[in-house]
Amino acid sequence: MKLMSVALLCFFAVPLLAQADGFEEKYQEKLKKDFITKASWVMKLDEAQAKAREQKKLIVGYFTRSYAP
Amino acid sequence: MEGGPLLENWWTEDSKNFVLYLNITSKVETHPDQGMLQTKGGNGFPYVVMMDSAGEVLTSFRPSTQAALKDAATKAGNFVALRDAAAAKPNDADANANFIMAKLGMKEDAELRTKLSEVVKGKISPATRKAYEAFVSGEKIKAFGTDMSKAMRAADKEQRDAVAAEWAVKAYESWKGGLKPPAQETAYINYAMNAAKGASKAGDKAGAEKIIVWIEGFAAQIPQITKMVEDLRKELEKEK
Repeated sequence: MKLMSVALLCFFAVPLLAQADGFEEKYQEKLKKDFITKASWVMKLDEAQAKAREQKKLIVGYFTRSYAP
Repeated sequence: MEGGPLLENWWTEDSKNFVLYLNITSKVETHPDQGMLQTKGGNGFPYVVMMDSAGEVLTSFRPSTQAALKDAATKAGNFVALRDAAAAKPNDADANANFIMAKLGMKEDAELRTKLSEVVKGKISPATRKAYEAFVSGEKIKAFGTDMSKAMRAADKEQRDAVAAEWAVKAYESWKGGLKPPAQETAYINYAMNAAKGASKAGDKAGAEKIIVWIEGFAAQIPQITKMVEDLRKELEKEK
């Protein structure tokens, strides 16, 4: 029974972990893109809002994804 | 977008006038602001918005050209100015009417619509009255677009060209009857395209040319417009 549980855990959890790692790698690759490195982006909205209040500027929000091209 | 406009010099320079917020949906929960796309009304990528310092979305746009970025900034800036004016003078009919019109231009709100119709029944300045009339014209044009889309979707594949031609005639008649875009805004391009086609079919060369010139006004902002205008003029030549 114990052996079966371990086998099931490996069957489901290992691919999930591998997939999660894939997402992390893709995210890190995305962060190296020129359009990101060439400008000064803020990654958290609350920080962007604080900066906008302080500098009296509007926020341009750019929403993209890293898990697929 | 990421391999094009966002690498161009105009973007690097002009984007310094804003706080740039980057949201990357990564499917990794521990990354910043996962799910923010949906919170801010997005349903596809890329989604680009102008927000105020409270995080309220003022307008969405595609920063494909410098003019498009400038246009969005003007629109957002105007909205903030109208909102601030209405907040500063809550009993001022003009300030309220102008703010409600700007708000309804962004999102439908039945309660605000009722409030607007009540406000404009009262005393408002000639400038606000004119803005209200322009707003009503804009709403009618948008409704025309919605009705046309419904008719196109309901038509069989074989009937679509005929249905489109029928609506082009309707757009032309409506334009000729006085329903013209109240401003040079992209939301009205489709209506104008149809009106130009309808005018062309009706043999109204001068009328069609006037509408085409209006459409041509977007060429700097939307590169595809030049080709669309060329096609309209070719159609007009054929009809002669």
